[in-house]
Order: sequence, then structure tokens, then C-alpha cells
Amino acid sequence: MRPQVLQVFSICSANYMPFALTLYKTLKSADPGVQFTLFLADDVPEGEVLPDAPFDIVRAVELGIPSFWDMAFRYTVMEFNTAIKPFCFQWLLERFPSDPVVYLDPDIFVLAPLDALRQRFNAGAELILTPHSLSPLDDGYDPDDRRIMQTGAYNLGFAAVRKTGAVDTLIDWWASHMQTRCVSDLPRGLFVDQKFMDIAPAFVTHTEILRHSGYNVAYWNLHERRVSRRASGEWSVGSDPLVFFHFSGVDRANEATLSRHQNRFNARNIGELKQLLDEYRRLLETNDDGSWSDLSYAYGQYGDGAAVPDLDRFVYRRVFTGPQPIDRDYFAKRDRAMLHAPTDSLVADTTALITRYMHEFWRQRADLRAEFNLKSSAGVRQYAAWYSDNVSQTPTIEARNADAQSADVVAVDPNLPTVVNVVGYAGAASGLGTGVRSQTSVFFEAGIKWSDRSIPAKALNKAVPHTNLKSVDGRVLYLHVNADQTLAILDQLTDAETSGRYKIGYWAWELPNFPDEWCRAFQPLHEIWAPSQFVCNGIQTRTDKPVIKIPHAVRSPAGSRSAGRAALGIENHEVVIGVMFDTRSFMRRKNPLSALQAFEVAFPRPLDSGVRLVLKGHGPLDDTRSRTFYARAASNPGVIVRHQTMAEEDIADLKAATDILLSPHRSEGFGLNIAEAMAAGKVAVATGWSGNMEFMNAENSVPLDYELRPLAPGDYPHAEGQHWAEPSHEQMVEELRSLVADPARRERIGQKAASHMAEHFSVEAIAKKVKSRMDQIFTMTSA
Amino acid sequence: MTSNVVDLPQSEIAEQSCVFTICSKNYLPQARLLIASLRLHMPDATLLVFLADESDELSELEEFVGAQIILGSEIGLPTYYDMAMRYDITEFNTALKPFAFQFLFKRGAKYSIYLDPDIELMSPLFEVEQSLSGGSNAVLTPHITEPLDMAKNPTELKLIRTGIYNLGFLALSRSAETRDFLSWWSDRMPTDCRVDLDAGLFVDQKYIDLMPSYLPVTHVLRHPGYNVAYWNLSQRKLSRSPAGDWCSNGEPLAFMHYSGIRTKQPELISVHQNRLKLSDLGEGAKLFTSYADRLSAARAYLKALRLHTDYTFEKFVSGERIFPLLRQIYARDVPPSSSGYATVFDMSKGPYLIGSIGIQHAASHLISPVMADLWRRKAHLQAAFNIRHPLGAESFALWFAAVGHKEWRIDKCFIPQSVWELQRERRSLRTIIATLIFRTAELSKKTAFLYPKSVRRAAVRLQRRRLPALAKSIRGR
Repeated sequence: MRPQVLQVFSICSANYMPFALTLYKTLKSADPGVQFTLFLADDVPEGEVLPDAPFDIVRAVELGIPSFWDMAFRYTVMEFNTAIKPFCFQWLLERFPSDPVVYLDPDIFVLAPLDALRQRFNAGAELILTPHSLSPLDDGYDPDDRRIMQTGAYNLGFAAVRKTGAVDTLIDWWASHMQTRCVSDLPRGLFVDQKFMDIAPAFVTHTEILRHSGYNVAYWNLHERRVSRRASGEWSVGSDPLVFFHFSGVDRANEATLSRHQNRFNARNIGELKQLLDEYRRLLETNDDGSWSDLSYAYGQYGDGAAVPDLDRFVYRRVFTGPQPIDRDYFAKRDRAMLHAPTDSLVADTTALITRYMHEFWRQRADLRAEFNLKSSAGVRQYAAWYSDNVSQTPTIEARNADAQSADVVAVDPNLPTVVNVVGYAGAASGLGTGVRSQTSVFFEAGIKWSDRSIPAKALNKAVPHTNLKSVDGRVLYLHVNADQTLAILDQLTDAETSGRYKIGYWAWELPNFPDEWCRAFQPLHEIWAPSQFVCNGIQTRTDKPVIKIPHAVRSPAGSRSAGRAALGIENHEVVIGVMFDTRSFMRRKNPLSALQAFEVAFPRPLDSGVRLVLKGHGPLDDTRSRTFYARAASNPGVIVRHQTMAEEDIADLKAATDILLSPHRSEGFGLNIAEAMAAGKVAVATGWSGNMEFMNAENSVPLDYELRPLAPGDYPHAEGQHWAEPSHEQMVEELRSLVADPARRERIGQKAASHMAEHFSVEAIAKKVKSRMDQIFTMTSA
Repeated sequence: MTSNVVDLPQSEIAEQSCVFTICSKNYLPQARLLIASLRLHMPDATLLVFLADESDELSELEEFVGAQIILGSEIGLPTYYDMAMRYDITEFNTALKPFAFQFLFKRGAKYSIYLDPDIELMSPLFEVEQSLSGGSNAVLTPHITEPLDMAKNPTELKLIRTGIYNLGFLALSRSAETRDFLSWWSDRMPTDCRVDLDAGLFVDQKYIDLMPSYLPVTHVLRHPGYNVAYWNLSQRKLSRSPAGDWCSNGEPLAFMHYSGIRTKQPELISVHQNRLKLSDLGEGAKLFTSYADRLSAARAYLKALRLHTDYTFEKFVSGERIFPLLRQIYARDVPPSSSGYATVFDMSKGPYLIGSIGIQHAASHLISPVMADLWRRKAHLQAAFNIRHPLGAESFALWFAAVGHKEWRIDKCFIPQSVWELQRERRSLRTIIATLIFRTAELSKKTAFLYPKSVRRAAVRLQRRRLPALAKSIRGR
């Protein structure tokens, strides 16, 4: 009898072959004893042969899957790759019944022999799985425990089995679900092939949950595993050798990214692992000679060469929940009758026709779902009209931007008087309202003539709509609204109000890169003002128009310290640390959780230390993040929570009652709260990055060290490709302790803060800047 | 016996097994049967009942249930009453589980075993004790140990969505690793012990899918005699050995879990399933009929004792019933707090009567947050009344005061006083017609089955198209 051989396999389509080649070469050099097979979830046209490869290739069509063509159409390329996995296991187990069979994702880099698997199989294991993580993952980044619960406990980039009755039962069961249920549908509890394997320990007695920390090391467990390189050059994880690293989500185009599927790590915060990432990227290039990656996906096009849109597949699987007896002819041409039949899940008594394809299109777009209520007849008619107007030629964002940038700005009329027409939400009780009111007082101080044109703020229900346009003949039209609103607001104005004016937009934005979607708003404007160098930098890279830095004028709010303390029930001698946030403007960005964590560590017995943390929040509590946050706050006797909308004078009192303003934000456009606290002589402790560094320095406040991290989708609007700062927890703890213990230091910093703000950010100081720029503009636009 | 935790002698539970259940007063009859079966088969174990409820008749209740009772409010959980308000009775009971384990381990228990109150032991938990003393940190029982099917309820997908392992049973051994796991698990309980399948949450149970990953030496016990219940009965054949002992697939039956049983209809087996009939169970059917009889008897006995057995947290201090809508409003609008019972269950302090409804106009004072919430949840109310408009808000308020609150069983106290004043002022055509519209709608719903299909369609059309139009014409007046 021949000795057992590990049968290792992977699955990929042609475009992923550089990954498979890299896997194969690193595997063979680390563990030459294994036998490798590649299952190709792809094909070449009949009569053509596959390019060369150093291993056996089995095409998916050879697996004998009963509903093969149905699966090839039903699934997108990624889904199809995962759906055939159990069938590949069956194929190998049937041919090599005495050998263990191991699956590895193609994006895996093997560094050491798979000896632990051989040893576990010898000890009786039937099935070996690797958990995503061996310890809780709950630091506010993505993915976290909750995400892992939704997508599956065990990472199915790896699985190893040997043939036993229980394993056969498990794999047959798994394969039967893969015929139609290999989709990502988290509300229904489905996540491709992976979620099903949560049940494996219940079905197979000798399931080994492999706790070897060198297996399947990836972004989902780096928080608990320290990857390092020994002097001898070998890679290790703690005391274990690094057996294989899973470069899931690696971005071949962006070397700063470790994985696109997460936001915890990037090339800068993984230490020595960066070298391995670089080496892996190099290997991918070496193994990509174009012979494979140039092939197009065999099940991705119709007979006429047109691509199969994912939407066609989505409609198909919504219509046919079970496997259909189709064959390769189904790919010959697009099944228009199936796609364009009236959708069956809407009320029929409407006049407009919604096809299945249109309905699916609506389902896939959150903006359309929000805009058109397909349960009402009116909604159906509006959507049908929108669809016929827009979908056939939805232009790309780039094309629209190009159009917009090239269009000429209408010339300024030099005969108009040197007056500024101010447009903004002057009546609104919001940041933007305060901003425009403050700006008009700056104009007043600067001696600039202005008139105001307030617009009712639709989203802000306290807005007072009024249009007391005292004069419409100003030469400058100053729009105190953000980029996303600029075009809509200009639409509301009449031609007489806009034509021949020099138009200035005052924009704020909290992340480093200015979003593509807003670039259209440059077109009608002559120049843009922004409150900090940070915001200016983001905007400047997107336009040739002048971008001028005009910081906010900062006033210290007049509140009563004693009234504020009385309202909070705090004694005069206690030190109060204030944290302010709005659940609507993204807990992730304002980051109050970090403040709470630092407080907990810095002051384990806050009442004995005479220190209180005041959390002033408002906004809805309908997400778990904010509720969990408050649950944690509730169990700390030193924390006072005020979650409500307060009258302006109460807020002023509350601010006056604090000694330290703590803002471990991840990014700020300017940070008006911080600035106001400093103007009032408070000590500001804030992340030393982004807009607030406009006025903070190590003398007048306490800027915190930070690390830059990439954002994940959903962290913030327009998160893609952005980064923000993670403040240092240790330093925050240290500084809080030191400040609480040292009243003299607080006094010193507070005084510097107040004088710095008064000197550089008072209404008078800002008015000077505005005046000088306005004078330039008026000169420039005179005949 | 006494309920005071300080008096729970450490030596009593140290170095031995502690078996406990958690229930509110309404489940004490089940707990009584469980405790009796434990006394019979595990006479050496310390038995405890954690009461997710309030009572000033503890010694009487302890005598009834046959074990020491520990009040949930005494296990040192800061947001206890907040959770009692935030959660429905099931969520609340399950949310206490990790805290009960922590409580027992802190007091020296070496092994702790949790059992749902609707479980009954048939033999000692031999395999569990063996596994724990052999070094396992945890023992879990899966719902199913082989594939089921997708044809009947519960399907295997449903079981995967709600959790692989049934948390009617959990055995833990005291260790540093177990402590770390409990700390992670219990951290989620104050706000995330909800049933929210779309978000991948199912009370305390779904989290345990991660236990084999996070807690080393977690033993998945696949023995067919454990946790036999509706979800695995189709795969477990119940029989009696010649000696009269119960067996499951030929192995000794350790315990049955009568989840979802109805004493008046034991033939259902469980209200959560439709796969099996009692007659499919052969000899095993006796287990269900016998349990149903004994449970009825225990309930009758408890009733005869004339104790207060209603769930305390289903009412406000002032006596109004807390219906699900109110808990949802509370969970959405109130951050977790460590306030006491009198504050949390004070209706006037909650966000039900006054507070923002997100709408501002001349008639917004006619709509309480509870009324607005109902409107947001019911599409047909939105179709009939446009409460974003003052006239629509008036019609809605008048309808709500006349019939709506009865239909949805919402206490009158959630109707602002101004609505009653308005009603008196305008006992007019508008109220009558608003009421009539909804009576018609309800009637067409209730009697639809009597009519042929074409008439049913017409009724549906009436509801979809005519009613909103009618309501609109009334508003226009």
C-alpha cells in the first residue's frame, strides 16, 4: 500500500491563474510531498487548448455536476468559484479514497510544510477547519464578531477532510445546497459556501477546530497573531511557524492596501509583514505572463460576445429558485423573454410596465429604492419614467465631470456694486445655520456691504424660511452651503439673482480626498473658500479654481459654570471631561467610544479620583453601535450621560461646566467644538490630525499622536480610498491622568488657548482676511 | 431558605456541580418539574432557580419550585431593570444566562450547568460530567447532528439562522478561558440579546456559534440522548429498554426538551414545528402526554396557592400593560441606564406620551409617540391618513380615539388629552366617516373568505385604491 499523500487543490477562473501559480510554487517549495490539482471554474472555446501549466487542470464542466449549466448562469464568477468547491472534494475523494484532501484558496502563500494536518489526521481527525479568529474581535473596525457571525465562523479558504461516512454525508449535503444557495444574502443567513460549514462540528464527530496560529493567517486574525521574521529568515507567528498566509482581498493596484475587505490594517501598521506582502505582490507579477489573464470568463458572455450582466443572473435566480434543465445553448443569446416579462411581485393594476429586469435594477440600488415606492401606483409610474430617461445611457461620473469642468463660467458684470449677496440657511438651528450667521457678522466687522438671501432648510425642521432680499444687485454671490447642495441651491435662485455674479462657495468636508460625485459643483463657481488647510488641500487637487482658506470665526460661548455643574449634579472641586457628539454625524468619526475606553483605563475608580466624564449626545439611537456604547457608559459610575437636544443656553452652561474637552475624532474639517472650548480657556485634548490642527499646537492644547488607517465602505460617506487617523489610546490615558492631577498645567494650557484663539480666530482677525480677499475680488472684477 | 445572595454559602457550591435554570414566575410550574427530575437523578448537585421577575413571596415560591431562588435583580447587573423594559420576556430571560454563570463561578462553583425550565431529566448527565472533569471548558448540544430537509418546519436553514447549538442546555467549567468567553458574551447582553434575524441576531444563542472558535476545548456533544426536542425528533427514535428506561436511538435518554409544547394540545408536539405528529413518535408519545398532564397539574397547584404569579415587568408601576410597541419605542429612544425599577417602569418618564414624533405642524400635539410609531409600522394607515399634514393628523387622531386604540389594544392613556377635547368638539361627520372607512376595511378582511374570488379581489382593490381616495376626500373637506 502506498503511503498517504496530501491531495491539495484550488479553484479559480483564468483571470486568477497568476494567483494559483503563486500558490502552487510556494506550496511545492514548502512541502514538496503534496499532490496538487487545479479545478478551473472556466473554459476555453471548443477546439482550443488550455495554455500550459505545471499542474493537472480539471475543468469544472468535467466534474459531472448535474445542474452544471444552471449553476454557470445562476452565479457570478466569484459565486461560481465557491459553489463548485464541494463537487471538487467529491471528485478527489472518489479517486483518492485513502488520501486526505485539502482545499486552499488561490490567494494563499504557503511558507512551511502542512505537517500539523498530517499529524491531526493520524490522530483521528475527519475534518479540519480554521476559525477566522481564536479570540473576540470587537475594536470598532470591520470585520468584527458580528460580521463573522453573519458570514461564518470558519474561513473556507481552507478545509481539509479524509473520507469517512460522516464526511461524505456532510459534503453531499453541502453540495446539494450549493446548487442554488451559494449567494450572499445576510438577512436570510446565507453567505456563499462558508455559512453552511458552521454546522460541520455538529455533523462530524471528529471535527478538528485547528488552533495552530500559523494556519490561515489573514486580516481577520492579525489582531491576535504577531507575524515576524526570525534571524534565520523563517517567518513565525508567536512560537509557531507561519504555515500559510491568506492574502484575501489583496489589491494588485495599490501597494498600501493589505486587503480591500477590511479597514483594520494597511501596509503601514503590519510591521515586518509588509515585507511578505511585497514579496507576494512581486511573485504575482512574476507569475503573470498574460497567457491566462488575457482569457475572458467562459460563462461571462453570450454567443454574440456581449457580456452577461450580473443583473441577468439575479433575475434568473429570482425567477427560477430551483435548478433548471438548461444546457450550453442557454448562453447562445440573451433570454429577453425571461428578462423583460412583467415582474410578478408588484400590484398589477398599474398602467406602467415594470419588467423583471427593471425591478431587479431597482432592488440593487439603494438610491432608487429610497426614491421610488414601487408599492404605490404613483411610484411605479415615476420609476418607469425615470428608467426610460436614464438607464439606457447612464453616463459615468468621469464623463460628467469632464463636461462640467470644460464649461465656461459666465463672466462677471463689472457694473454691479461691490456688495456681497449671502445665501445660506440663516434661520436654521444647525452647524450650517450658525456658520452663515457667524460669517455675516464677519462681513459686518470687515465693513463689507452685504445682503442676505436665506433658504428654508428642508431637512432642518426648525428652519425659518424667509426671503428678505434687501438687494439683489451685489457683484459677489456668496453661497454658504456645502458642495453637495450647491447646484440644487443655485437652481432655486432666479437668473436675475445669479447672472453676472462672482460666485463663491464655502465648503467643508471631513475626509482628505474630495469626493468625485461633488466635482460637478465646481462648474458654476469662481472660487471656493474652506475653513482649514486640511479641507483646502482636498479641494485643491480637484480644481484649478482658487481655493482660499478662511477659517471660522470662533467665539467662546457665554455659559455659567456653576449653573452647568448644578444641572449635572457635579461638585465644584471635581474635574469634568466633556465629550460631544451627534449619533447622526457618524459615531465612527467622532469616536466617543475611544474617549470612554481611555476614561475607563485612566480612572478605574473615577469617583475616588474626583473626575467625571460627561457624554453629551443627541440624534437617533437606532443602531447597535450607539446602544452598546451607552450600555458600557451606564455601568461606569463616573460617567454622566445627557442624550437629548438641549436649548442653546443649557449647552453653553454645560460647556462652561467642563474643564477638559476630549475629542478623539478620526477626522475633522475644522472642529468648531474644539475651537470654542479653547476660546473659553478649556484644555482641548484631540487627535493631532486634520482640520483642528489649524488652531491646535503642543503649547495651547494637547494634540494626540495617531496612526493613519484606511476606511472601509460604510465607515463614512464617500469612504472609498480614504484614510483617517486613529488616536493613541495610551497617550490619551497618560494625558488625562496628568491633566486631572495637575491643575496648574490645565491653567497654563487654557490661558494659552484662550489668547491664541483671540489673536488668530476672533471675528476681528477673520474679518481682516475676508476684507483683503474681497478687496482683491472687487479689484479683479472691475472693468 | 432565603434569597439573600450574601447568605449563599460558598462551601455549598464550591467544588461541585451547580445546576440552574432561569425563568419568570409564569414558568415556575415547568421549573418545578425540572427540579423534581434533577433531585431524582442528580441528588448531589446544588440546584438553583434565577428568577427574572420580582416577588415578595419568595419563600412560598421556593417551596413550590423545590429549590433556592435567586432574584435576577441581585446578581449585580447594572442595567437589570433597563433590560427588563427593553426586552420581551423571552429575550430578558435568555439575556441573564451569562451573568448567572458569572455569578456562580464568582461564588466558587467548579462546574455549572444551565437547563431551560421546560426540560426534564430521564437519567444523570453522565457524559457531561465526564467531559467537564476530563478537561472540557464547555459542553454544547447541537440542534441536529445530521442533515434535515427543507420541506417542513423547522428547516435546516432556519436552525442555522438561529444558532447551531441549542442553548436550552449549556455546561461550563470554571477556568480563565471560560471567564474570558463569558465576559465577551455577557458584554453583548445589555442591548444585543434581541431576535433580529435580518441582522444575524437571535437572543443569546447565536453568539454561541463562535464558542468553538473562541473557547478552547469546547465539546460538541452529539450523543442522541441529549436535548431531544422537536428540532431533532425526526432523527431520534424513542423507545424503552426491557428495564423500562427511556432510550433515544438505542442510547440512554438523558433529557427531553419540551420546547413549544401546549398542554391542551400535546398532539402538536411543539407549536414551532409541522414535521411530525404525535403518532409518529410511537412509544415516545407517552413522554409528551405525560409531561402535558403533569404540567397542567403543577399549574393548577400553583393557582390554588393564590400567589402573585403574573410577570411583573409586563406592566408599568401604575398598572398599564406594556405592549410590544412600547418596548420597541423604549429600545429605540432610551440609551441603556442603571436606573432602578421605579424610574424605568414609570410610564410618565418614558418617551411614550410626550416627545418628538418627527413631525411638526399645528396638529402634531394630537399625536403621541406611540400613535406615530403605530402609523409608521402599518402601511395601510399611511395610505389612509397623511399625518404629515395637519388635517390628516386630525383624522388619524380622531380615528385612533374612536376605534384604533381598541383594534391594536393600546391603552387609552397613550392618547393625548387634546384628542378627547377635539373629539367632543367635533363629534361630527368626519369622525363618523373615518371610523366607517376602517370598519368597512376590517369587515372586508374578516368576511372575505365567504366570497368567491372575484369579490375578494374587489375587496382588495377597495382597500388599496378606494379607501385612500375616500380618506383623501374627507381630508379635503
